[in-house]
Amino acid sequence: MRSASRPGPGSLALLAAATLGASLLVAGTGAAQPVPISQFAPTNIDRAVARTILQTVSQLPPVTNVGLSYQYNPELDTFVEAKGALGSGMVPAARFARKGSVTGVLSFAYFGLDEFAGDDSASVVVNVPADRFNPNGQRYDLGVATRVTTDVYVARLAGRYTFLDNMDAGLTLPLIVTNVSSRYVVQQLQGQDEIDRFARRGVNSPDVGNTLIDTSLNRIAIPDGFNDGGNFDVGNMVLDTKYGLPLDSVNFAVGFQAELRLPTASLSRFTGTDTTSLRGLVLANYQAKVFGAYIAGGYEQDFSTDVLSNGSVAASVTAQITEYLLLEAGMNAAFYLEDIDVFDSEKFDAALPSTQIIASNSLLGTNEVNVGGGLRLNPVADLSLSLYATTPVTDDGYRAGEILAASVDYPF
Amino acid sequence: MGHPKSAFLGRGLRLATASLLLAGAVAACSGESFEPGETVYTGIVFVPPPQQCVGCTGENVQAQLLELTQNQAPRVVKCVQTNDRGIYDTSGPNTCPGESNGSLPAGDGEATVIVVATVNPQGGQIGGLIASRLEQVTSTDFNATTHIACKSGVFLTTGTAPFGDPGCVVQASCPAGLANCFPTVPPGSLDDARINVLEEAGELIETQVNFTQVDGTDRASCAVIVCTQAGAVATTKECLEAQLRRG
Repeated sequence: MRSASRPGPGSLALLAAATLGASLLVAGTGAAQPVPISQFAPTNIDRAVARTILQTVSQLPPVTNVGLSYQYNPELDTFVEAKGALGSGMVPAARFARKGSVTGVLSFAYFGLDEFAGDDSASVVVNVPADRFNPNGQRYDLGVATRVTTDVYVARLAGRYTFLDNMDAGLTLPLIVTNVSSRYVVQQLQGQDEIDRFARRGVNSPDVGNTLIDTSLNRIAIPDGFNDGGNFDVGNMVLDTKYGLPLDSVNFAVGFQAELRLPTASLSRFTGTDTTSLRGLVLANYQAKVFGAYIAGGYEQDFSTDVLSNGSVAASVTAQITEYLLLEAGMNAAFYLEDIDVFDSEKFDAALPSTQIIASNSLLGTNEVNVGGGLRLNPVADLSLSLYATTPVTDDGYRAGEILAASVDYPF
Repeated sequence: MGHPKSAFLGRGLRLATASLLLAGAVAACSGESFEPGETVYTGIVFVPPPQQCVGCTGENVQAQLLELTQNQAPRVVKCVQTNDRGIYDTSGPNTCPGESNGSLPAGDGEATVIVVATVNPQGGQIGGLIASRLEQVTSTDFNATTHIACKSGVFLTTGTAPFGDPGCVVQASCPAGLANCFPTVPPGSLDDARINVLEEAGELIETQVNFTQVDGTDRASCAVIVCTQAGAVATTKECLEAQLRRG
C-alpha cells in the first residue's frame, strides 16, 4: 500500500512482471476482505506524518550552523569571530566554529499537524458495486473521510566537529513523541447534495441516518494496524558534512553540504521513515557587520520512495542588532517529486472492481512553503540560544498551523 | 584556577546529563493509549428484486447478530433495527433481550459470525457471514450472494439435519461412501478465503433463487457446499445448476 520505488531503466521488464503479479495478488486478497470499507482506509497517513516530520526536523534551528562563527586570520595566526558572528538559524551556511572544536546542540520543537492540503480532513467519495462479484449490478455511493491530528514533540540532539577551518561534520538524532488522534467516517450518500456536502465537510458531514462507521482508525481493519494515541521513538539519524570554498572575501561565503539520512525511525509510530536518503545543498551567504543574506538550495533523493524525494530552497535575511542579538526572517520550501494519496485511491479498483471516485480526492499536494522568523541570542561566552516560529503559506501537505522551535548550542 | 580539562569534562557531563534527563522525560510521556472497544458490525442490507423476494425491504427491519457454534443451532447475540436506509449497526440497542442467549468470544482474536435481517412478513432473510477481528468495527454489506453463502455457513457449522438435508448432508461425521456428505466444521474455519469461495459460488446462481421464504435459499446453499467441496475450491455455474436440478 505504499508508493512504488523508482526503478532503474534496466529493471522495467522485471518491474512490469512484478507489478502484474502484485496487482493480481492485491485483487485476489482484496476480494477476500469484508466489503468494501476496509479497502478505503487512509493507509498512507504515516507517510504524510513522516514527510512533515522529516522536513521540520531538518529545518530546526540552528540547522547545521553553530552559534558563533569563526574565521582563520593568517595575520594573527589564530581564529577570530566572523563578521556578524551569530549567523542564520534558518538557512545552512558555510560558516564554521573554531577548528578542532566540538559543538553540542540541543533543539526542541512542537507542532500540531491537523490540515490535509488546507482542509480539516482528507475525504473521497466513491461509487461502488453493492455486490463485489457483480460490478454491473446495483451500485451506491460512499463517502469516506478521515481526520488525524498529530501533536509532535521533538528533542533533537546534535553534535558538530570542526576538523578544518572550512569543513565540519555533524550527527543529528531526534527523539520524537507523537500523540495521534484519529477519526474515520464512512457514510452512504444519496443524491448530489449529500455528495457535495460530504466532499466539502469530510468527517464533519452531518449524520442523517447514513453513517456506517464513525470511529477511530485503530478500530478498523487497516492493514498493519494504526497506532492511535501516544508513540515514542527515535527519529531519523542524519550524518552530514559541510565544506566552505576558500574565497578571498570576508563577506561572501559559498559552500556545499551533504546529508545522509538513515532509516532509524519508525513509520508505524509516526516518528519518521524507514528509508534512506542522500541530500546535497549549495550554500551561499553575504554577511556584513550588521546585515546578512543567506540562501541554500539542493535536492534530496530517497532511495525507496519518491514521495520523500524533493528539491528544497531556503533563504533569509538577518540583522545583528547588538553584539548579542540577531533577528532573522526567512522562508523555506520543499517541492516533492511525488504526491501522497492518503487513501491510496489508485488501489481502490483492484480491491473492489469497478470502484469509481466521483468526488473529492485525497492527494496532499507537493509544494510546501513556510515563512517565519526568530532570534538568536549570545548571552554569555560562546553559548547561543535560538527561538523561531514558522507557518505555512501553501495549503499542500499534511501541515501544522505553526511550528515553534527553540535551541541551545555550545562549543567545547 | 581550575583545570581546563576538568572544566571541559564538567560541561560535557552536564550536557550529557541534561540530554539523558530530556530523553527520559520524553520517554516517560510515551505509552499506547489504545483501549479495546466493543465489537461492532455495520453495513447495508440490499434486498433482491421483487420477483425474487416478494414484499422485501431492508429498511426498518430486524437484524440479528448470531454466534455460530459447531453442531448446534446459531445463538442470538443481539437484535437491532435497520434504519431508513437499510443500515444495520450492532452497536444499537438490543431489540430482543428475551431471545439473546449467545455471546461473542472474549479477547481480540478472529471470529466468524452471521448477521441476518428478516426482510418480509413471510420470514424471508438476507444476511451474510463475517470473519473479522473482535473488538473492532467491521462493515459488511449483505445481498443475495452473501445470503446464499451465509446459509451455507450455517449448514457447515450446525449441520443440515434441522433443515431436512435439502440436497446435501452435513453432519458431525460422515460414514464412508455417503455421497455429498460433509462433516461439520468449527466456525473459525470459515475464514475470509472460504467465505470468498462460498460467495463467489452464490453469485453464479443468485438470480435463480427465490428469497421470499425463510428456506428459499436452502437448496442453493447446499449446491454451493457440494460444488465448492464445503468452500474449499472454486466452482462453475454448470455444477451449481446441475446440483440445483438434482436437489
